[in-house]
Amino acid sequence: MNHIKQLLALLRFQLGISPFIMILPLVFGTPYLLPFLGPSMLHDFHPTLGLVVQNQNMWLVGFFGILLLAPEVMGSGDANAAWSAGLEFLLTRPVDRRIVLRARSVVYYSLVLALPLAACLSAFESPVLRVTEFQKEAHQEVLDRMPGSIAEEKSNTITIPNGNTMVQGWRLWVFMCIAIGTQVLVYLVYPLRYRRFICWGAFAVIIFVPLATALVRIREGGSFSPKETLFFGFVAHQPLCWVGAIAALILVQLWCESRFSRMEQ
Amino acid sequence: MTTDYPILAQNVSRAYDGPPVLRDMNLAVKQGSIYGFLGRNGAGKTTMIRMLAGLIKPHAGEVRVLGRDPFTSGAEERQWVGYMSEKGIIPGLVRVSNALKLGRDLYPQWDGALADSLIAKYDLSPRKRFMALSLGKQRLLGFVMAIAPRPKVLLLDEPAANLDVVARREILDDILRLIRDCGCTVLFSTHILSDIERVADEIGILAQGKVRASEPLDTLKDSIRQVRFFGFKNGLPAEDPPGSFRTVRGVDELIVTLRINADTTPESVARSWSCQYESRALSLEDIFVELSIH
Repeated sequence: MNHIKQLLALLRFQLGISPFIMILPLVFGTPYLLPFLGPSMLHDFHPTLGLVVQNQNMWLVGFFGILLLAPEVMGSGDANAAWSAGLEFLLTRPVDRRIVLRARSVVYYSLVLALPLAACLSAFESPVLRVTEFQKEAHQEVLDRMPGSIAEEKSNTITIPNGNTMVQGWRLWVFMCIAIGTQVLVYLVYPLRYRRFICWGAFAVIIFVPLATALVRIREGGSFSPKETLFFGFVAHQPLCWVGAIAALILVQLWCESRFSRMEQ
Repeated sequence: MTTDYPILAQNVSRAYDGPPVLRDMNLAVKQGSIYGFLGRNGAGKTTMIRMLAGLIKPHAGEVRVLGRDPFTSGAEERQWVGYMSEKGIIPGLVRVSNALKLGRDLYPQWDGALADSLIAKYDLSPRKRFMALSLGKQRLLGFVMAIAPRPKVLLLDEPAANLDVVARREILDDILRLIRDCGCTVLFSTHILSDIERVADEIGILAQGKVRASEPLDTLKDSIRQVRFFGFKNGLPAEDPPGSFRTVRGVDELIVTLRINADTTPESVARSWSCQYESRALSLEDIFVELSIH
């Protein structure tokens, strides 16, 4: 049986293992849904660039990443029938080990990237972004670093012709990078005895690092957070960022498949 | 060798965190036979079966199923090996029908008619999720998933656990039927000795990390006997006879559990000790206990 048939069979089965995962795109993509919740409230409101580029749900991508890519890592280890991830069941069926992992990756990346990708594509229809920067330095930096941006007369608002496309592309890129990082972490620690604790520890770090950077920013001042600075870097080197992310995705996937196929269960 | 013995393990050792569970273990299961695997809890039966299923690797020695290393074998080889785990390994939210669909999708030789007949016979509702089934029914579904591809090798880890007597007999009958139909080779572990006696052609008793005995039930019963030696003319001997598993010393008698072979028979031992003897056959349970604890 060829790999595509195996993959399709496993994908169908995967949805049966945990039907609730179908709601995950909504969980990951809450920021995309906010504008639909209260159009009147958001009408004529132009947030700062910092607000536009941030996404509080990144840690969810990591958290659900572990549950989707290697649920047995977070499990109790005793293969409880009711909540078993079914790995032993699948590995004793006629499938190649690496295809089992590939099916999990396909589900994970599809769920994580579905909404950002849709938003990215729809941004081509309304590419213009308007942001408001009240701080003088921040206002000037946006004008300097966002190509084609124009300051509006007698206001702090800036119009960025392809700003929306860039922001949605940035979000998609960040989602992809977090997902790749999660996959690397999961399969690095997979064979370790204390893998569950390492993963929980990683979450603690992911959750608290933004808080720590925010505190540093407040204490030391400065117009932009590291995330905004990174966004400017992304804008300046978009082709390189995309090529790098796609190459990393392919290499990480191949590495994980190879590692997984050599691991015991 | 490969075709004669679809299941082979040679000098296999395996440890987890502590001392080895299996030590230089050898196992060879003949084509078309039903091999009953006996052992105490923690003796290494599940470890051996998981190794044969390709889930774990031996730390030393080699394992072969249908002539291939099961850990590295791909889909082509795996489709001929049926496996039923000791635990319910099908994910809890999966419906019975989804599990069967996966079987149909993955196994080119999946016998849908056999699967459907077993599902009806075991009264498994296709709409039910695995977690909603009773433990016994979960085992039965696991059995259907293992047997419906009509495998060449069937590995069953405690297939009768959590089953009532009727369901247990049904499973055993189905194993026998499968053997008759397609000459499948079966290895199954169990604690229920009556099951072994009912279906197994050959029995392996695993203790101290090794297969202590591996032979047909009748041969095993004939070759291991309990012998009472008495009427010693020269007093009780200090040494145990060769081939003895256990010796109980009385005031003027020895009760020896003895493996009988060409060199060691009750007669030859009695002759060398200048005494008389009485020999009695042991039940499988007695043999199992003798081999397991000594």
